[in-house]
Amino acid sequence: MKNRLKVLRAERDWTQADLAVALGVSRQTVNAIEKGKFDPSLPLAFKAARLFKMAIEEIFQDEPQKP
Amino acid sequence: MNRSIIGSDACSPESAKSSAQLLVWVFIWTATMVLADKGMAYQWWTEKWITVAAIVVNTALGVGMITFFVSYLRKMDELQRKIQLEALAFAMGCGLVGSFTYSLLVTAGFIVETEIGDIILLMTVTYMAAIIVGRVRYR
Repeated sequence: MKNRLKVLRAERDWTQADLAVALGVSRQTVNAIEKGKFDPSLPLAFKAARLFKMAIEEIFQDEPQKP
Repeated sequence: MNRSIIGSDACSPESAKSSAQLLVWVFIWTATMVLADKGMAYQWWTEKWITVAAIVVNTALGVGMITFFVSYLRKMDELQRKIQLEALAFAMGCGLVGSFTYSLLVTAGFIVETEIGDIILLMTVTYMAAIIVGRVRYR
């Protein structure tokens, strides 16, 4: 799953630690989500959407799986 | 929301404190187990009630350790919990497969001595290795 967390965070001049505190997760988790290594749960995705005042699909985009 | 570990790094003071507390629990439980085991084996005491007390204290500390570990897991965020889950599954699988292989080797006569401590050691090592691999993988 692709996401725009890194871009949105940079636009606000937030560090990964700032975003981690705002989302109530560890900095490692924010880093893993930004790098696409870990897909967040639906509640965490909603939390991010509320934080950035955007729709979930504007932040997270599904990537079609390769056959 | 519990914030004792979340909102921080895996190496943050809060996380390190919780990990240290868990280590203290494990150490105390292991120490009382060794004390009870060696005490009975080498007859450091002869009174039955001391043996019973040693077993009861060790079991109670074991329950305390499990309770602490569960609350430790609940304080983690979803990625940290995923790493723990994968590590626990790997350690349990290795322990299960390892113990059956061990049993077969004993039946086949390749191994004479069977020690439950070897399986515990295997599970501990595989758990710790899996935690390190998980942290590196999601770094």
